[in-house]
Amino acid sequence: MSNAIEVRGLSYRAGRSFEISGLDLNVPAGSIYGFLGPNGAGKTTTIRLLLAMTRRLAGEVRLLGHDVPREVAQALARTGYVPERPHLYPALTVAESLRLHAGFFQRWDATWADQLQRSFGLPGDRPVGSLSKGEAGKLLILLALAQRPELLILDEPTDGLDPMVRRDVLTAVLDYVAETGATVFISSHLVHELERMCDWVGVLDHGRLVAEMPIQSFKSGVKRIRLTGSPEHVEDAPFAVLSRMAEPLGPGETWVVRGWRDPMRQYFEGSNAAVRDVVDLDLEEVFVELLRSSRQGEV
Amino acid sequence: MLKQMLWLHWKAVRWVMLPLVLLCAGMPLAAMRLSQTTGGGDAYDMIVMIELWTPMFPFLAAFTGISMALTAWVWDHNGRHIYALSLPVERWEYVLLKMAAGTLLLAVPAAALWLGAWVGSLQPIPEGLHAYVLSFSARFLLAALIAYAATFALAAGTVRTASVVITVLLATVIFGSVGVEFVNGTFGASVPAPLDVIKAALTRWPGPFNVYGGSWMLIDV
Amino acid sequence: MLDDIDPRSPVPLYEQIAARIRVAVAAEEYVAGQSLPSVRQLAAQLRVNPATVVQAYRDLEREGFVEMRHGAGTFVQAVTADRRGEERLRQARELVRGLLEAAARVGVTAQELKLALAEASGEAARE
Repeated sequence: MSNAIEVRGLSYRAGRSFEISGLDLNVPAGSIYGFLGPNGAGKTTTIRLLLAMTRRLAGEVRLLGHDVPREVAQALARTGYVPERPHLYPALTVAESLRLHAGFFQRWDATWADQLQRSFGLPGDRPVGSLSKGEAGKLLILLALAQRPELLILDEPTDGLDPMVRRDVLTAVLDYVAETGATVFISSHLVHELERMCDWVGVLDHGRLVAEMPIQSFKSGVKRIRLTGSPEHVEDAPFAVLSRMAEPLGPGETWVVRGWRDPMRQYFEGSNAAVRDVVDLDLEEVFVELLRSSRQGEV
Repeated sequence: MLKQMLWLHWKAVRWVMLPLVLLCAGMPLAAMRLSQTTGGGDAYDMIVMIELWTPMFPFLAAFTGISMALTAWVWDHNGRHIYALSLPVERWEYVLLKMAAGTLLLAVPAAALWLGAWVGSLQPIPEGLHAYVLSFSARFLLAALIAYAATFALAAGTVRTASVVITVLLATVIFGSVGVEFVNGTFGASVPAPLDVIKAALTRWPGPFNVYGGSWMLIDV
Repeated sequence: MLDDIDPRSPVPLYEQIAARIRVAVAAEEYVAGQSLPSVRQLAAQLRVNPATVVQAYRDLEREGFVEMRHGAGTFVQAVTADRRGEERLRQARELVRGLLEAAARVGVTAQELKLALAEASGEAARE
């Protein structure tokens, strides 16, 4: 099975304005897939549709080879899920929640759950409802990991957590992946955080998948080009122009382009502009530019 | 998994259980003791006194079943069922497990009722009367189970579904009654009121609530 | 020693990691026989995908800088003085290229750079 998650033609509608239509996703097994998108893009909804927590209108979903929702229980037995907001029963204590959860998962690793609980510093007798945001976040990841899943679906697992807790959570996940080669599907609007650990990215905007590719391709082709002048025509450029902006100080323009390779400097010879500078963008900048241009319908 | 579900259901209904148990144990005991004291040993007087208490028991059974069912689902409703949906159990399996757990837990207030009735029956009863402790308790358990099952089905759905069902029911009864009265008054017909129709359908055999219509007499000839 | 990597750079992360280790071996900061951090440790420390570390280690193994012993860890190999010299030279070229690019961006000529370099080296020699 080459894809841990496979989605074809997913469709869903809520109210009059929100719609997901014809969504395709491919999450390769063993990869760390970053599901990026601004708030309101539909990331949480998509995840709920993947897990059959919300009913879809059309399309196919396969989790670890299991057809959802027909075999969703089998898929969930091998999938660790961390929701956006804690979904545990607030009246139970940490220890009770662990015991309850353990009873439903055959592959529960009690020794490791203990270890994680200690290293996360979670007191067993505290009611879940009284945990701080950081503690709750750590408990959720603990539950998902101690199940020993083959697939982790994490919905903004570090949102609202302080940097130390964020590191604890992500380190625990990376550690687990190093040991087991599990697949991780992690959604976030915190692009910086995912930049280092993801090898695949999928970008969602307004319910549409704007891009899906290995992270290297995502970053490496996109550059910021500083030009000394303002070229008139842009036709048959060997690269895609995502945006153009005039320089704030002095003449020239700054272009953001996709598919850039160094020999393409020649394109500007003969025009009234020369390439002054080629700047690499980090994932967040690429993300922003991609969204901006896709919303304008240029991509 | 039933073990986990039983424990979870227990934790969720714990606080309701205590007053229920006290009520279930206390009421038959009080009914017996009070009707004996005031009856003064006369069989006829005792029957009359017991009859005053009798209508309360079907309500107690319904109350027990309904409150257990509602408390069973409160935690899930608060969390919008997300936790339950994330477990590797089919939806219907989860519902069935929870219902099985609740059914087992209903044994607790039923046992309390039986205990109260039994202790009450230890006092000597006038000649010609018998205490039907077992059949009384059995009827209670069955009635509570039915109330539990009916409420459970309603509580398991979304709040929206439950509101819709309840609204439709109330609307049928209210507007139906008004409509029927109008028709009867204007045309001199005698269409039965919806409430009576529903009650008859449900409580007469083989309606599900038939058990509520039977004899709730703890003491009888 | 392995300070932070730059996710912004177009150089793939695994290549950045491998490059750092190559330099360290060339400068003899890592001696032959020494063990490198485990994949898990390094991945957690740098907060990168463990597969990235594995790829870096594999590349280094292919080039003969390290040896991955299953179950025991990854160990630095003995590298000849020539090889080390090669590596340092390669590193120097990289640094110079970056410096020239940066200088061009702000309009500093190679001549001015050489002057500044001479001054700086002179100061260093005096210290």
